[in-house]
Amino acid sequence: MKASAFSYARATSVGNALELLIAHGDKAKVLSGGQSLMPAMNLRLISPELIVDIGELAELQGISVSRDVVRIGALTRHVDLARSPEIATHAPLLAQAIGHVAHPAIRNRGTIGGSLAHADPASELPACMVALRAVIVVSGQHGERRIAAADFFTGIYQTALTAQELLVAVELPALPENSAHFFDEFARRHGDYAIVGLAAQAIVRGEVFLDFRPVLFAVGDRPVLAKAASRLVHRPVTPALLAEAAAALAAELEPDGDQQASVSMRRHLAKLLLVRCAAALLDRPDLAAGGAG
Amino acid sequence: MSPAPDGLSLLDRPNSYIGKVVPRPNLERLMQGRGLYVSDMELPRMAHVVFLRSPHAHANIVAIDAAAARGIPGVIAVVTGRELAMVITPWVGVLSHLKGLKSAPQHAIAIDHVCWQGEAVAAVVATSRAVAEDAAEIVSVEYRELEPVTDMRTALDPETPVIHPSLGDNLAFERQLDVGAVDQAFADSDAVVEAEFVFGRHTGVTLEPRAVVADWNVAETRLTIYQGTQAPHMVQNIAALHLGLQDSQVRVVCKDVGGSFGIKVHVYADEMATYALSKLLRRPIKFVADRVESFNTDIHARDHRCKGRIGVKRDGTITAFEIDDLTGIGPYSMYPRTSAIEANQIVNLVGGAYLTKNYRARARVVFQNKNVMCQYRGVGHPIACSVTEGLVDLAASRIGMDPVEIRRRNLVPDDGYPCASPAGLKFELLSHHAAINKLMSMMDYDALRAEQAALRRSNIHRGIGIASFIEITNPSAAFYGVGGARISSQDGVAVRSMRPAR
Amino acid sequence: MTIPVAISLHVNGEAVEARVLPRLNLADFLREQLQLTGTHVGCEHGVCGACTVRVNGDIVRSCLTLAVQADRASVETIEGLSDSGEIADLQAAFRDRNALQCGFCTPGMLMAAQDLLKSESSPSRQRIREHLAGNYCRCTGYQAIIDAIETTARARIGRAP
Repeated sequence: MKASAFSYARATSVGNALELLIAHGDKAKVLSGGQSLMPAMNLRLISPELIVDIGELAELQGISVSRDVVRIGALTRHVDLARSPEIATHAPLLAQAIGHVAHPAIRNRGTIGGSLAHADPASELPACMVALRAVIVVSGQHGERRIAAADFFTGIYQTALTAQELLVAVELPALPENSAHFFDEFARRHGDYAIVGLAAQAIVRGEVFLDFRPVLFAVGDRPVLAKAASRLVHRPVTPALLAEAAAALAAELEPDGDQQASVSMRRHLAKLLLVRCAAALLDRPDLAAGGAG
Repeated sequence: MSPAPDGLSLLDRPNSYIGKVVPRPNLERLMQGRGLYVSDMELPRMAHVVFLRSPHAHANIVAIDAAAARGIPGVIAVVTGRELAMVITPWVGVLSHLKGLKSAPQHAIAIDHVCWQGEAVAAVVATSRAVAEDAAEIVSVEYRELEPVTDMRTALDPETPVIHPSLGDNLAFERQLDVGAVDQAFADSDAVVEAEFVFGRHTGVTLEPRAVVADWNVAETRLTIYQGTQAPHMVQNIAALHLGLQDSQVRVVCKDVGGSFGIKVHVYADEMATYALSKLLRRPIKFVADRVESFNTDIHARDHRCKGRIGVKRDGTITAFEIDDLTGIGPYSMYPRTSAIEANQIVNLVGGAYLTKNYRARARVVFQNKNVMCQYRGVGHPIACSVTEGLVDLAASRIGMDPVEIRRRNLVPDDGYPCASPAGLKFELLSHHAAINKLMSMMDYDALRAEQAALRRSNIHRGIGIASFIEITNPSAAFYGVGGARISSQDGVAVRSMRPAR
Repeated sequence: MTIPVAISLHVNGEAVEARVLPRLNLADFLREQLQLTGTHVGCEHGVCGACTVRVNGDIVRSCLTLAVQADRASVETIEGLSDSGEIADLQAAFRDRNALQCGFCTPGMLMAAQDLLKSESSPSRQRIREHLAGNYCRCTGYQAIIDAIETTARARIGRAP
């Protein structure tokens, strides 16, 4: 399983990387952490002619916090997110989710830019971006574009990025008061791709959701922000109401069956996660006791 | 053994190993990263082989065009099955003591007829694995696809194509056993329970894939084979036999092996091709299967559909066992141990150490257009145990008896040895009852059953599984050698003892 | 054919200059060009952990790293960690607990174990399992490996000032 031959260019700047991508079109591939690109190449699922290594670009590194925004450079490694005090404070959902991403050796190389551009429907970070209302910052020959996370993931391994663009950063809006988060996934072993997962960001005052964004992943070709969540916002949540919302969620989803789980099992697990999520965020263990039925 | 005057026995001697933890001497090099695995080996002028593999389960090879591939810098040769057949003879995986076992000759590389998806159709030899893979991508093979035989249940139907016409049908082996009075026993039972047990294909997934370096020294007409194998003497014997050499011309070196579990005890076409390529090309050739190849071409195992029947009386007495086992082994019986052994073991082992003398079994081994199948860790035991214990549980459930109780009533008593099973296995000093008693107290079985019942009222289902088993020990030469398998271990050693010079 | 790229790095403290084809991964570079065969190749797609090495102090999958990406990096393999004595106690614990059989996974296990113990002095068995979840063993069933790492952690605390 050796990759086919390719030429190698180490980009000296974002501009230089873009020049190379524009010149070579879909014969070129961007290399950041390589944790998704390299397996595909070793298996000869893809055979690019040119690899553009952006790993040295200082402009894509670093996490910075301004009054309204946390900006995460595309080359930020998963391990950097896990260790970052800024992320712990301003995006604790990410800090929690990162522990579920693969294994330590992968997290030491994999980058947020790479993970989002790769857009595996069973991966954790895309769902977190949707839950956090993240903005994906993309650089191309016509300058920068900003794409809402909800619009960025368009299918299995498909995003709004064109082949001549580079994902350069992710911007997270500052969290309002009373923010709360939840993350959980079902996987056979710790670090495996999820069978079903849920990343949620919310605003909770007292026992009421003022905002609730539960995002399911590994349930389709992209992360799914549960429309059913709107039933739970701005009103007291009873077990009956929660069960109704869970049923509505199951109806919203069109998961695939595979060797890990059947369609009905995925729907069941999604309901279970929604119930556990709501119960945890509202600090209402009684809501989880009823189960998803 | 009577204690010596000082109260010490032979076991207390300072150099006795009994009861002591004895660390293995080879651990140091393994922990330092200085292991001697074949996949680490390099020899001067060594080249790498990549096998071009059929994407079709069943096809005729019409033509192979390797002209473009040969032109890639670094490619040393592209060799077809026909060319390699001049150097190495085919083999047939049968043993004389498995009556009726038949199989077709298998070549190191397929010549006209490809029988499973993954079977090699050409060998690409190059200065690196990467270059060989590049070249393999541009070898063009014209296939005429044939209808594949994939479902073992219909492999013997008249409408199903026969994979090897010379054999007449797709039946490799059949064994029947009928002991005691099974029909009478079922007639006398208060309940007869039937079930079909289906087992999927397994494989061993050794962390180090199969690896071999074959080094033919044409000047000395000596072949040295470095191979991660469980059976170096077998490799020596078989390589010599099929390459037209004397045993004394073949030396097999086997040091560290990164896992085997039975996967590396067999003779594979890829490895035979590697030995032959070294002879043909007169230089060392290395083959290391990659992970994808490993899944596609390492032997599979345990693909069985076993129908079972058990008869039981209301008092829990098991009256009879009956099985009808079907397994599909791929298109060739593996060499030299044969692919009939797993089915044979299942026939031998079903019924375990239970008292009933009534046992009927039929096992059929059929060919399929899938990867080859053969012995892997446990050979037959997992299936025989699952079927036997599954049937016993079903019988217990049918008559409303606790699964442990039915076993207490039917396992051979601990003082009932020596004895023999209906299949003829000799039992000596088994202690199933002592084991059950100990197990029951260790797990506090009654408490667990009470907890299980209580939880079930809240719709929480907990399971408690009990199984007894028997394991074949000491198969000895009666297992393979008696049928002619060339896996003997006959070697010599010279010992020299020297005093240090003063 | 593509053009070899010059790289300059340190491997186990030794300065190394080489010219490598871009597609050569770090595992193959270490094994074939430097004959450091303690780093093993088990899957070539990053899941089995047998190829684990340290790059600039972090454990990584050398099968998913290009040799060109290791330019100006400091790479440490099992041979280096072993020869420096850094993991002598882990190795002793592995020996005493028989935490290896065929040994093929062992270099990767030792690298991952040392990585854990450097950042967590008292990991629970659950934490040990999580950190080692990316390393497969086909022989031992893992319990002895967890035991050996737990034992080493305790001993290191016992020795700490």
